[in-house]
Amino acid sequence: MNKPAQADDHRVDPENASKYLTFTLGSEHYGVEILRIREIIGLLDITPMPNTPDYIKGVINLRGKIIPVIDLRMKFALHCTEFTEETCVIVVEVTNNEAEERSLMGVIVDSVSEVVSIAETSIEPTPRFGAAVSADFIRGLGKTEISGQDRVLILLDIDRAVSDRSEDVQNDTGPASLSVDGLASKAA
Amino acid sequence: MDLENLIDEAARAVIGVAPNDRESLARVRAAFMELERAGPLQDAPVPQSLLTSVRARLDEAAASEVDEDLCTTLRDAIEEIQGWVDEAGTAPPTSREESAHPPSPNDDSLIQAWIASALDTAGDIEAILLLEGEMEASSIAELRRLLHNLKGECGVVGISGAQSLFHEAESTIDRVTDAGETLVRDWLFELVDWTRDFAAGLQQGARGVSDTDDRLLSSMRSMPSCGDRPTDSERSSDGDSGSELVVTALAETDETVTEFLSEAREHLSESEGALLELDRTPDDLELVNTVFRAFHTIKGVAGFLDLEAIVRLSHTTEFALDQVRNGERSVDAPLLGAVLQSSDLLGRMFDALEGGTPVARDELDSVIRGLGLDATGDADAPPPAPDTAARGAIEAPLEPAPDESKPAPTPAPSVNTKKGPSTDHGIKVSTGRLDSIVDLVGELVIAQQMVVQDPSVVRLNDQRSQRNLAQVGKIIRDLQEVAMSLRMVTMRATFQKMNRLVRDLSSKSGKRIRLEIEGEDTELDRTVVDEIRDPLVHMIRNACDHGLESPEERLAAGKAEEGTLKLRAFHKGGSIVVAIEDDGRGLPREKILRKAIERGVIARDRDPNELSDDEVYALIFAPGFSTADQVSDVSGRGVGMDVVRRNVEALRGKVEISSVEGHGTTFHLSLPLTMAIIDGMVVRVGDQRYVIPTLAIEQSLRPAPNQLETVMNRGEAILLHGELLPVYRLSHLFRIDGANDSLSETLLVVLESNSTRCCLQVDELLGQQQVVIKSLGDALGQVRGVSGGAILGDGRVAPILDVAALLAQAEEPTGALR
Repeated sequence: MNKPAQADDHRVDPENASKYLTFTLGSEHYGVEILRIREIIGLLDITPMPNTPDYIKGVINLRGKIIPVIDLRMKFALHCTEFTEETCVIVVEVTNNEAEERSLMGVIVDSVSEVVSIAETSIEPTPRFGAAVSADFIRGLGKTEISGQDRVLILLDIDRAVSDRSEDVQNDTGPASLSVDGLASKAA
Repeated sequence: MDLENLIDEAARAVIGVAPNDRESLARVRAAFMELERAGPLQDAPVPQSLLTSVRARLDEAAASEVDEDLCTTLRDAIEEIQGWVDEAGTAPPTSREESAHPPSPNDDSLIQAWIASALDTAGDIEAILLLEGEMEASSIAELRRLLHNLKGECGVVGISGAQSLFHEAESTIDRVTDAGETLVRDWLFELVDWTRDFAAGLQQGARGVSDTDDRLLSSMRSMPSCGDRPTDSERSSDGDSGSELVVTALAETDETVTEFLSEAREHLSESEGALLELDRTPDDLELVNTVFRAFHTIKGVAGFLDLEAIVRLSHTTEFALDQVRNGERSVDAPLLGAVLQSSDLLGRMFDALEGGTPVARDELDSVIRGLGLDATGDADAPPPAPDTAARGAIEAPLEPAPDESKPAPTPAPSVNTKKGPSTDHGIKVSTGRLDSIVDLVGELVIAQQMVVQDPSVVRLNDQRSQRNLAQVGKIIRDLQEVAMSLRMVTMRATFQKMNRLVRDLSSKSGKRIRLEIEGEDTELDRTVVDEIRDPLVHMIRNACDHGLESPEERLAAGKAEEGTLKLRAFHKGGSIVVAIEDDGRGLPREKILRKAIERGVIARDRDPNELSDDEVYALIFAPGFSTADQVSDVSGRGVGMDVVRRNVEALRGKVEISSVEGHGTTFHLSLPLTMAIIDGMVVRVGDQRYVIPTLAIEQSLRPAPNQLETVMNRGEAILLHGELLPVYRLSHLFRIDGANDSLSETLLVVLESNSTRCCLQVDELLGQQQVVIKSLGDALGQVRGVSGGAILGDGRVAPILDVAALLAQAEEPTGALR
């Protein structure tokens, strides 16, 4: 925090500032690059999917297209709460690691707040929290003003945040996918 | 003598002419006739009508006397001609030679069409070549016809190099058969390969592809070995004017021309239909009239548009047909062939007008000669001049004609009794459009379900509305069926390619291999067919390289010297199975295990003997796995089987291997019939709905309490028709809350997959409906036990069960009894 935050820091110099959509999970504020957001929808009927990790709540019908929906609270192992009126689904574009193609995914969050600009310079690297917090899917911490208060915004690397490759979910993935694969991976 | 000299001479003669001077008049007449003969004043669009009218005046004068009036007319005429020539002198002269190469991609869609049909034709040719034994006359005729078509199509798109190549092939076949020799297939195979490569090159947009193959060309020319006759092309190149163009692209096509072309093409196809009818019923004069009318109309409009070559050709054809109408000539094969050729050439001329390959003079001449075969000389002559002159100025960009009085540069072509274009009235549609139809129909099905299941509609107690809704539903189902069938293609083409592959592999490896093909008419979704081509190639390569032994080995093992490879396609349950069966040495279990341990594909601490045969065979699908001691150019790198598995799994299919060491290996590829829509049974478990593919369902039943047995109070089974079937609960397998636990109150669905049967317990059957299979989204990837999602009538998603994977999961120790 070597550069003290100015009141209007978050809307200066559009050249090296990116826009972030902010949302909350419990008392924490998160941000996702606005360019990755496709739309924000209310909570639809979610069809659960068997044999998937718990944090995958299921799939929804987004105008004829089926997209998976993940519960970010579960993904981040936060305390689970009931869905409220404010709960909504942010539809984001994610890049699958294997294929370069982008696909859509719904992310359930407690509430969506606002869009803020954060200059690259006011993004701090994630401090090391030791094993307590996996910093894998955090791009950095941004300082900004939300609803008139100075807040720390947790900027997510959305590709990593929604992928199932982080270690905290490995044991939830259920039975191995296919027998041949299973054999190979067991052997390896 | 070139055009300018001719005109100068005419001008001098005209100046010298004086009233009542018969000698000078004769000179003028000679000069004008020379000019007129040079008819197609290509470099200068001199109106033919001018020449014709001058000539008419001269003829008139020859009969009466020369007066001052005539002299003025002549002077005016020559001045006008000079004016035309001067004007044209500034314009760049039109190229006289057909553009050799590179292929001028004048129209991408034309080229694409050419590529598609060239590949088809290449496949057909290959199929003929692969027929056993000596080639029969009918096959050779078919070969010639195919090559001829190919050649013609090359002409249409302007690939002249390939055109001459196919032409040469055609003449080579003629020469070889004329010489009474057997047709050697190898060069034809080479030609097929070259065609494929060339087409592939074109498709990839490679510009530098040579459109001909000199080596192939010269090897063809050297056939038959004893043959020292000049080839057709050499002969035609002897003719000095044969390649001059009579029809070239119009500088600009206005609406009239476009309209004419599209109408004329319609007339042509109409007349072609009639001609083919005539082949069967040669006495039907009404058909002759139809053809006659078509050519007559074309002639009329072409005359109006000053398209002289077209007028000439259609006139001659009309003339020949008129002879038939007058009973002077009978409808026989040569005539029909000639008329068909004429209509082909007309078609090409139309293309040429739109920028296709120009049509050369000798082609026109030879077709016209073909028509005049048994006719009086009249048919050979150009149409009477006044006929066209009356229609206005003629300014078709035509070149000087060869002297008609000279002997023809090429001998009359043997009249080809070809059947004309194929009678299949198919059109070529891009797969993109087909796919969007299938998609749209899929959406329509979903939308219809939503309407039908809407509570307010369900409540409608109006018989008429219900009937109408039912009708809509029926039409949509029919539409869906048609849409799906649009994408279905047979396995024939793919299997034929394998035929070729086996032949090549067999000659390369020195093994004798016989390929038996069965069920090539089985239809499959196009995507599926496309996707399994690579796997098939890999598996056949493997079978030929690893599976089948060398003749010596086979004899030593007490087998027939010739190895047999069977390629079969058949329906089984809800899928199509493609089986590749060889009677070779079988999969070497020990060797696979050894290699697998060496390569660390299986852990060292695992007892290899514990692995079942299936597990061992599954190892060969591992990437990079190969038992080959040496990497040959056929196989051995261990890529093939990995590709097989990936492609087949991507299609939601599976590969099964059965093998007996020493007796052979069989691969079964089970593939879904279609990729997009399935018939499904919607079932409810708890508050969740699932779709079970109807094809996997044998029956459903509400069990009587005494039918059910429990094993150690945990495993459940039911005695059904004397067979004990395990009972799995979907609610347990998928960990669904709120399901009915009492077996006797719920329903059992008997499922069959991979010849395993079992019962699946569900709470309720909600009904059968067609569902569109949707991917669950790339972000989720494959979910075990679920093959996709379906959007049901209420807009919610229901998972579609993958019965095979579900049963596999249920059989695992941890699966069913959680």
